[in-house]
Amino acid sequence: MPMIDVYARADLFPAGVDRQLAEELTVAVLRAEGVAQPGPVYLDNTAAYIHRMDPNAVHTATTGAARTVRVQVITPPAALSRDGQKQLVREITEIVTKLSGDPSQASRTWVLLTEAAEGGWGIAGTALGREEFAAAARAAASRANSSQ
Amino acid sequence: MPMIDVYAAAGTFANKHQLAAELATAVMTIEQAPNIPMFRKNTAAFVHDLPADSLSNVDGDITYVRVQVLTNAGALNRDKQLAVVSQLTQILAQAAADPTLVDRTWVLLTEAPDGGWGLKGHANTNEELVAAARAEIASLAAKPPTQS
Repeated sequence: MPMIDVYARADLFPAGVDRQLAEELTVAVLRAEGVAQPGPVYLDNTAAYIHRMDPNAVHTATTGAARTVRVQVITPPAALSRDGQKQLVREITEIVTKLSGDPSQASRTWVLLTEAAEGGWGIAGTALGREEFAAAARAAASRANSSQ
Repeated sequence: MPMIDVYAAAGTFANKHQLAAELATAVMTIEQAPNIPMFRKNTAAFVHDLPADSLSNVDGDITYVRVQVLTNAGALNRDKQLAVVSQLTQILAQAAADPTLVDRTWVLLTEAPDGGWGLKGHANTNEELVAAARAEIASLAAKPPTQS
């Protein structure tokens, strides 16, 4: 149930692509986590925030008003295997590049994978840790079995 | 001395400044940090208003709120994690005047690595933070109480 932040100057992505960008990024991160057929709990609690910034607020060491994109992904601890990490960075970069309309955007796209502290994933007022996630997954599986 | 970031669609909260102060106070209280200026002045919340088209979960919903809490390493034990997520979620629902917001509130607890808490130009280790707090408590105790 990751959270994704995209930071870029306001004109880097064309107007009106925000929803598509958010949808493609959220689905990509669920895929990388290995959630093949995400249920409502996953779909509702995986989200993207697109920060369109004043061009003068984005700089690299050498360039002002830079056409760079930073994507930060925060997951529960160890949600991504090494293969999942590689797949996610590759796919996010592809999505960003495609929607920016600039084939050279890949070389100016950073994807940073971060993790919440163990026990520190809060939903609906409860701080979830490994044990609680496992219990929730078991409960969902038993509900799915009993409804068949 | 946690840093708290709230991300929500613009208009979710009527009084952002009061919300920020309440969140900061709640986290400082739960941490059981000594009530000294070093902690009161350096525990802060930032409320980020986002345009409605700049956030989304997989389903396209925008009525979710995300809170990220950054602490120094190991600042919150399991009981404190549970208290932070529970209390911040309640405060947000009250500030939004919407009890159902509890079910759409994510609280993500993250930590800076030991040595990575920068204050007054110095990257503090946990040991250094404790020493600085002890020094301030000793210096306050040595001064005569000021009239208020």
